[in-house]
Amino acid sequence: MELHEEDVRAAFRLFLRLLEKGVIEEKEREYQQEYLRNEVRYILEEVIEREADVKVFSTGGTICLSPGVANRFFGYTNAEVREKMRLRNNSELYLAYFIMLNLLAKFYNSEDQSFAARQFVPLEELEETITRHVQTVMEAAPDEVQIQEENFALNLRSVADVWLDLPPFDDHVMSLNRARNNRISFLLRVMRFLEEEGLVQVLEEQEVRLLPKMEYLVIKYYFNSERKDYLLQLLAQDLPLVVEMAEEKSDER
Amino acid sequence: MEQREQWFANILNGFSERMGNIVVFMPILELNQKMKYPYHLPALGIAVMLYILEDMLRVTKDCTYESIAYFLQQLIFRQYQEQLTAEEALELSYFIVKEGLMKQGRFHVYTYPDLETGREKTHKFHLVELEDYAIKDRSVILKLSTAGVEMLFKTKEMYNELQVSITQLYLRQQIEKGVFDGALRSVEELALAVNNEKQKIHELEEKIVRDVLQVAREQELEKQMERINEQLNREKHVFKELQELIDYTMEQYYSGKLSIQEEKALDKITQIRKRLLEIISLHESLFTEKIRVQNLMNYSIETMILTAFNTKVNFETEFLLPAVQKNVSLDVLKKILDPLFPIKRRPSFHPGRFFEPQHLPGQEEEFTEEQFFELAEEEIRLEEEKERERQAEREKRLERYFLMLLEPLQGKEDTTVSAILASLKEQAPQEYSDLVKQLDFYPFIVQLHQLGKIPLLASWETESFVLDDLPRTLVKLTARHEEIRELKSFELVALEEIIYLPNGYVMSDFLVRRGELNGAT
Repeated sequence: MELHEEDVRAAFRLFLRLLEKGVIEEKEREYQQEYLRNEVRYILEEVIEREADVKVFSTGGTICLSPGVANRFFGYTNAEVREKMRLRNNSELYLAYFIMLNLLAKFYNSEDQSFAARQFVPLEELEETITRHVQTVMEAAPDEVQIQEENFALNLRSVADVWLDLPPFDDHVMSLNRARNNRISFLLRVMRFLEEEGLVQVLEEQEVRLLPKMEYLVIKYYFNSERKDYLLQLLAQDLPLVVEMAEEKSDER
Repeated sequence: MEQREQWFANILNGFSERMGNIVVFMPILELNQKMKYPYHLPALGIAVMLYILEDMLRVTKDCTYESIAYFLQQLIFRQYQEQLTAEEALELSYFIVKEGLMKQGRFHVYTYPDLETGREKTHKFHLVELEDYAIKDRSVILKLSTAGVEMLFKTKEMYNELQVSITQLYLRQQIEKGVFDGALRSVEELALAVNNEKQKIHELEEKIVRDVLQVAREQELEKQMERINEQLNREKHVFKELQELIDYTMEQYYSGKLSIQEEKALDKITQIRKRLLEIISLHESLFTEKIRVQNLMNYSIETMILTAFNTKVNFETEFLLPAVQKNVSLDVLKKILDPLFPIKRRPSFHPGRFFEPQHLPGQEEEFTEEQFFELAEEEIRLEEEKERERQAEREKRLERYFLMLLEPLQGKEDTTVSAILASLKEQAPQEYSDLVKQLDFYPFIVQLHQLGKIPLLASWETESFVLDDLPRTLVKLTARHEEIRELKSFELVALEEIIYLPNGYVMSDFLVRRGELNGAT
């Protein structure tokens, strides 16, 4: 495709605006108009997204920008994410990531359908699922875990205790949001962060639903074969905890 | 053989559509299997859905679990003579809505063999949904999904494609019969039906974004478009007729003297008309939506061809389970989730900044809340001061008018407004021309005239607190002037003569005369 200077400028302006503000609101007509033009969108998608390792997408009229995997310029480091969520150490950070992954798994758990499989998830159900997975790890053979821990400083096995030591719920806590001493409060802390980013909404401190931004992010970012393969490879690289299972999995692929 | 196939095809034509229409009732029937409560839960389930529908018909949409609980509390008492506490009622509403109607947020899923095609068919739907995302607080607001509304309409009203038409028909009949309360409700139902249409187009739109291939495979767009084209045009035509009918009905009312009842009816028709016009414009917007969906479809297919893949991710089996089984490290986990995090800006410093205009703290800072309130208070204070000034000015003018009328009465029984104006013109031309320019002189005279006989009392003699500024000014004035008090009372009587003022103003002349104390004039 032949590129015209005017289109490149427009795409670049959009990108800069997104870098500055994070989003472009619906009322910002000028930018919105430019985004509607196919030529501009082509440059955004084929040039800027690829080179800057970001994803530009529009949800409900708002244009958003999201960094790609391990983006060196625009991504947050672990320390920065920890600070943003006010977490105390990397074990808690690991748990926070693990919670997010579980949340997405609750909504996107079918092969044939690309929209979220449900409207909301009760926090209790999410807690139970996470606990179940953490327990799976705990039940693995101890010698295998030994090998594991020599290779990796931090993994699911090493943080499992942090999670399991927390009671699921604390009836005495006045503010569930601020407490740290139970699993539901921990979940809420992570959800608040996602809420601030406009990705989810916690309803009546009981259930979580995904907001359009999250749904579009999943569709536009993860539902892409190149990126998916990359993530699957990442997952395959880590040492398997249970050897047999890993083999089964690699056979499937 | 082929004949037999044809025979089957004829009988089973549209089988899955029929099944689809039937399975939407399953969640209600399944409530019957729940043993938690001694009530008839399917009936309560339908009642709750009707309650939500009613809420959707009203303009203020605030269907919360609490309001449903209150509704159920009343209903249980009415039906079972049991008084539930608020907590128990809330518990019951959670059970019926979350467990029964919403299935904890999951789809209701029913699979059956489509006997027409011989294939398995799965029907997925929600009956009740969370209201849109624009909610400020985090309380749950509920609404019926399109499938939910359709299900209810199937129980009594009509099938969905005809929903708008049927309601239009009702509305027409109601207007013709003059049942305007009913018509008002029909108009609201019509609004809901049109909104439902809009919702359907949006759903298709979302489906295209999410799974353009599926939409293309099922030729859903073509089917919907065909339906929309035909339906919208028909409805548009009927809307036009309805509007004409309403205008005609209104004209009928206008062309005669109205009784109180007729006036009320006219009010309602005006309301119906206003609402109908809103609905028509909403209906018009469906045409643009339609075009947008078509464009979206084209665009989505293009992008899909460009990327050439239609990949999906099952987060549970493809990401989460391997992550657990392989006990992944922190960094891998982070990489998977990186796209969820916001873009981080990396502001850098340029020495050139030294030469930019200084931005002093506090200069353009936003106000703190306290400062903001102070500011608002100051504004209010200034505004009040201005208002007081305006008021004082007006009182001064009124006092002047009163004196003009009452001073001549001290020497004689009566005078006229025209005489007063004539003498003013002679003695104080400037004041006269000011008065002519002031537009409040005539209303002042008319107001006095309407008051009938006006007693001239000083404030301490009046019993009630005088609020209106005309009597208040008069009381103040009377208190200050002994000679006016002695007049006891006065009144204005309209005369046949007309006064022409130089600015083109025309007013009736009035006789200003002293009243007797005992009221005999």
